[in-house]
Amino acid sequence: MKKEVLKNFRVWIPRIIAFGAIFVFMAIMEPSFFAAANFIEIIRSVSVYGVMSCGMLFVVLIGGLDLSMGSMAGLCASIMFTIAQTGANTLSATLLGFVVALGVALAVGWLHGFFITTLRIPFFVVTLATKYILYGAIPLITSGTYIYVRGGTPIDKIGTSRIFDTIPILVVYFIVIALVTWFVLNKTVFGRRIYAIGGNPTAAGFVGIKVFKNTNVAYMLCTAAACIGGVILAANNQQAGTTTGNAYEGMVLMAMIVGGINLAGGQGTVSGVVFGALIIGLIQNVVTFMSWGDYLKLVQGVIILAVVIVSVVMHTRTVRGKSRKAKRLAAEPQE
Amino acid sequence: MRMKSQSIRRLVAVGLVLALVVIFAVTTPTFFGMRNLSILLKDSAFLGLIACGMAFPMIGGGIDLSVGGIICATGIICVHLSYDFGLSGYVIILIALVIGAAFGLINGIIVAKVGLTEFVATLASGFLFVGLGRALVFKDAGGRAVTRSISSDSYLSFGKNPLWENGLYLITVVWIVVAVGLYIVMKKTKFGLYTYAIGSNDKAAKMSGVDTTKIKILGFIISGACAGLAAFLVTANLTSSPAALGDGYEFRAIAACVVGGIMLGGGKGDTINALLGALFMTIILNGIYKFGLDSTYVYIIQGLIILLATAFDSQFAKFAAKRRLKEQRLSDITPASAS
Repeated sequence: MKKEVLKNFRVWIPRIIAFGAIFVFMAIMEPSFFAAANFIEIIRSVSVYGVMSCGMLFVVLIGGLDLSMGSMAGLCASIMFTIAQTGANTLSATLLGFVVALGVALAVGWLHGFFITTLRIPFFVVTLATKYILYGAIPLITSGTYIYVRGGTPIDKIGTSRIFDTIPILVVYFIVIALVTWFVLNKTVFGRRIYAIGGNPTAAGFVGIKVFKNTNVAYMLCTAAACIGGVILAANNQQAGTTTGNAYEGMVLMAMIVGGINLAGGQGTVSGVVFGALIIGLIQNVVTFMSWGDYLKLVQGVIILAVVIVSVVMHTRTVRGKSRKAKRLAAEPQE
Repeated sequence: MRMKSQSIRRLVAVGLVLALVVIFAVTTPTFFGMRNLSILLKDSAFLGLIACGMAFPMIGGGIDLSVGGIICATGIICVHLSYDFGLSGYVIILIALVIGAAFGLINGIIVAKVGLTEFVATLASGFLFVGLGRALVFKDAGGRAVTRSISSDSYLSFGKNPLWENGLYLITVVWIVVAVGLYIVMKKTKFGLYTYAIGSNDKAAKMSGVDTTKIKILGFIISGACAGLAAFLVTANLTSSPAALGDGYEFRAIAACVVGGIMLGGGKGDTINALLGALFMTIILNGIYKFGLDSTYVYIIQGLIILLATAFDSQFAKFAAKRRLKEQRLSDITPASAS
């Protein structure tokens, strides 16, 4: 028990250091960073990344990746906004729009699973292809323009309401979805199966887990999260179109990597995802705050590459260390 | 003697290209005009170059998702070299090759030495290269991004005018030279042979004494160098370097390789497959524009092509395996009459 607490603490040390470093840096460079309005801004962007990252976690845990998340988000938002607008923005039309968008997302998720499991095509090729297909489909739905919503409509309430008139409602969606993800992964059979498949698909199959079926479900959960993320993003911006959610998969991937989720599958926690989303939201905010916008992509690229390399090197080291320790233990009794 | 499944697959690719040619020749009477053909060959040169380079990591069982980023970064550096330093185009083309190769070397080291899987490594480094390109973009005094056009004659000579009237462009010539060179490398050198060995079975190749680290790094260097070369030629053709340069090229190159018949698992195909695939993709994209379809259909059609081609390949591999098994059984029954 004590060991468990210690282990958890060890995971949190680098995270706290990362937060501290960013805050100290900003305290020196730009004290106005600490204004309440800016923190609300950070919470807003973090919430969208966080919702999408929770969905991606399922797919990454089984050793896959969904590169179509950004396009999926944009497409779902466009579908919902179009239907809501055709129905004069009534509550029922908005709900119908959301249901249709979610249905499309689930169908695409199932197709991902079908191509990846049944046809055995590498996941990055499948999701890269659907990324472009979905991106190309957005203008067909919105007829090439942006769809705006006015204040007071149900969509507007979904995106821009505030709790106690201060905290954006988006953070509620994030917290709810993070809790649900945590519950599903840790307290349900399905969650344990996901970890098992990610750890070793062959072994999981031998144990009697239906690998194909669970993989399909994981991809469907991922696209569903992309749908929700896209809808709340577009509702918050009060517009949906081609640029909605564009290239968000890069940010989600970064949240995964920074959050310590093993891209090879089988390892990763919801707390890591939450932390990852917080850090990338912070970094993005810092970069725009310092008006280094041109270097945002460069900074992101450096961080992604550096963290991936470090985590892989650390992993091989621990594996080597463990095998060395095992050898030593095996050798000792004979002496 | 029955045909090898690999030759069947190549015939399928040739058939696809021929079918497209027939369709467009019937629908557009100017298709076989010299002007149209030379422009078609020019357009397929960029994609063809990238696909020929990408063939090496793909045959080695990997993939290179960073070529779009390499084109973005190298292209902007090329324009900087011409605009800020006034270098000649012939010097810049060599520098572009070196820069692309250096980016490829980074990929290779991350994959082969550090031990990341190909797609994670090149996806991550692709982000880095795109970021580098965006950071280097031209800015005016107010800090806003602007585009600068190239004025150097030697630079523009690669893409602006054909070598003779309605004839080949210099871009096409460069492509053909590189493609032939890479074909020889792939088929006639030890490096090419080892690449096939790694793609077929990484572990077996290593146990047979192949230096897999070196071969993998070399494959990525070739892919990067081809992308660098393509970046130079793309900017020479566009006469400037837009910020979104190279966006989606990795995707198109993978599509070209897959349609042409280079299997995703590795070990099969060669640069001729990449060449055929690049022709197919270019003809179909030109056709889309020619029929006046909206540019968003380009994305949808490219995506569908990749999905259909890979689905076909996976079913074709099953069919080929079944056929091999059947042949084996036949030869078991009648060993004497096998030849």
